[in-house]
Amino acid sequence: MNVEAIILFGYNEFAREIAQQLRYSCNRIVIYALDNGDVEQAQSEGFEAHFADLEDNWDDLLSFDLSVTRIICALESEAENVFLTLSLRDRFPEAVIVALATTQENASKLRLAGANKVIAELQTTANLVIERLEKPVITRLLEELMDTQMELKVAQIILTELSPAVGKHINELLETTQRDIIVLAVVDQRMSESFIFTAKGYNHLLDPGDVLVVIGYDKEIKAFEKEVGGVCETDRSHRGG
Amino acid sequence: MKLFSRALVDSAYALESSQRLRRARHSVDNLMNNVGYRYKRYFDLFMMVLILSSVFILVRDVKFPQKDFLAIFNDYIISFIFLIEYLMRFWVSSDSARIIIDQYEKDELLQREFRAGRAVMKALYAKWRYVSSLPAIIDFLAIMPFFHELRLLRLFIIFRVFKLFRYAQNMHHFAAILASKKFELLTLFTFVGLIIFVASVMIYVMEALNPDSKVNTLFDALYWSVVTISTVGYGDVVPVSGEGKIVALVVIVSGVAVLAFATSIVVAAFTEKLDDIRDGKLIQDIQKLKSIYLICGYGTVAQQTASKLRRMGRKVVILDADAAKIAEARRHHDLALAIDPASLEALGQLGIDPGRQVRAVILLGDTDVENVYTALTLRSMNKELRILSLLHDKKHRRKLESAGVDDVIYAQELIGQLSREYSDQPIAFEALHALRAEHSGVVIDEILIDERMARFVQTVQDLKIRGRRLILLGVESRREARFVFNPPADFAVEENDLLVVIGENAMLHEYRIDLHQAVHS
Repeated sequence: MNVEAIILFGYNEFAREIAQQLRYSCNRIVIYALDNGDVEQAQSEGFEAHFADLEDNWDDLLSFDLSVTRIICALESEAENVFLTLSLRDRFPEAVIVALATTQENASKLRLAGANKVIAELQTTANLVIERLEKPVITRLLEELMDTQMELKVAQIILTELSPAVGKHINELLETTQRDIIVLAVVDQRMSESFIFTAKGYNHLLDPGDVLVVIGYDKEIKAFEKEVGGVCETDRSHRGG
Repeated sequence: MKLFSRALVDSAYALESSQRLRRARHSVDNLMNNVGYRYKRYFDLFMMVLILSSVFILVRDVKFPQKDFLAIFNDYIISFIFLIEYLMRFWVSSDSARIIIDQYEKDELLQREFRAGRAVMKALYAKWRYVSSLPAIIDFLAIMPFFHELRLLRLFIIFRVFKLFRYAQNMHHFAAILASKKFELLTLFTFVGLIIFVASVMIYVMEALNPDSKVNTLFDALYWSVVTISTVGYGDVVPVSGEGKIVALVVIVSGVAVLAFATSIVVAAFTEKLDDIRDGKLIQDIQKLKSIYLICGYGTVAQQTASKLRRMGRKVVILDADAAKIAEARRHHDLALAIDPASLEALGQLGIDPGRQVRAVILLGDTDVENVYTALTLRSMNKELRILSLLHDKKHRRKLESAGVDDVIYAQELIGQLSREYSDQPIAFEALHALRAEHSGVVIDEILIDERMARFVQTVQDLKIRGRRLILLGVESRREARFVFNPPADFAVEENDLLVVIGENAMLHEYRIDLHQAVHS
């Protein structure tokens, strides 16, 4: 499943950075701001931007295929952000909503309001400060892995019905593959959405629909994808940039 | 220049340039006067034990005949140690060689003849100032029993008790607090003295001729006045005449007023100085710490960062010029000081050695201006110090880097990156962040190949990582100056390389132990 569009609510400093970061990896970014000044600024910076009101019934969003769209709620006011998340969840139960919060307390409110993923600004900043001090190599490595422009990357491969890996245990798969990749974890969509790290769950039986999280060089990942007959989700990264 | 003057200056330069002498002097000075010096605490403790032993022996001697070995210990050994201490304090109290050199250089600069006599007088005066100071007098009297033959001088052993003041830091604080209220206390004592004088004279005049009264002399009158004004009132001497009783009433009321006044002065002094005392103690504690994270600027990010570092068992010291913020910080953290981290003088008062004690500095001030200023101050103190700073406005990034910040963190950019990562590959994102968060039980960690390990581990195969349910993600290779992903079994591992390993916490812990044991076996 590739993300085709991003709907971003708000245009403060955080939202602007998000828009800039996503500019090169996503086909379409649409910004909805609660302030006309923000709308004009977003437009002047080259984004498609519209004015929005919290009382809207969000009919505009019906034009998006929400199965391939991410909604990011990054309004300045925490209360407004919670209200917005709640309204969107109510209207679009299947949408993937990412929301920004300043603290963990607000993060839990946003989760209750229905956000799929909440990024707590303060905690995230504090964690990154500590990671850079305590584990600089790992921090740099993880940042590079998630950077789609780098050669070494992390990718998620969904196993199809016809995948030869289906019916094998993870350790069998790891032993038979000749590829220079590391299978980090498996997400069993049927059992739950939590991770089974390969370092822990060697005996997990692979099913169709399972997602393998792999780390490796682009070429090796593609070859591995063919070998296991899965669908890789990293190709988007080469489009926009 | 005269022969004597030349010899004096030459000797002074010789003493000044002697490295051994300077080192010895520095060590003695630290031992005697530097409360931050690690061995001073043991020295003070040792001296306090000697003093208490000496007093114990003296008290015991009153009713029990002294045993010989105790007498020798008290009169000679302890006194001799005190004498050595006195001489050492005398030595480091002033630098005579430096005084002479300063005088010589000053005279040279002004192109006039070196006045040796003046220089010697200056040096002697500096020593005299020390000798005539109260602590030095107490020290001197405390070594008096050393002259055993003069039995009378044994009483001076009591002065050893006063020496305790020197070794107990809290006593210094107490004396400093009282000294800060010198004017008020002087006024009080003058007032009390005046009342006692007037009351003594009055009661003597009123009572001395009365046959029933016990006030017969001026001393009786003085004794009665002091006992009454202090509100002790033994009742052994009481006025019997009506006039005497009126004097008593006035003295009693004055006594209550004097007590209230005295109490208020002392309490006010303590209240004013309490924060300083607490800060002083805190600074002493901080000076003893090693490997600390110094957080400059206290706000919400600082609170989160400090709390997490503390949970990880790291030592964190928080500095902020704003006393209100430090008061807030102290609710969560013990080591927080209202000190401006951008002031060299303030950092000097803190007395920490950045190169030796500080693991890294984290600049979390409210503005970039504040952080740049602090970074420059810290960089001027130490070139090697690791400095990380939060960036508030991205157009200031270059300024922070120019100020010597090693790592700049721009929260907005990071949040943007995370949003992009999550939007691109939510599952991979969650997997990597689950490793970071450590709540899944599986962690990603670094293992350093130290010098000992490097002797026994030559290749990845020697690491014996296979079959341990651990994943070797790669090696940060010093030789190749890059991260080598999933290295083959024959890849050479060298000293200071970092292994990046993923695995269960317990497994990783066990592997670390095994790796060290393999080296030691």
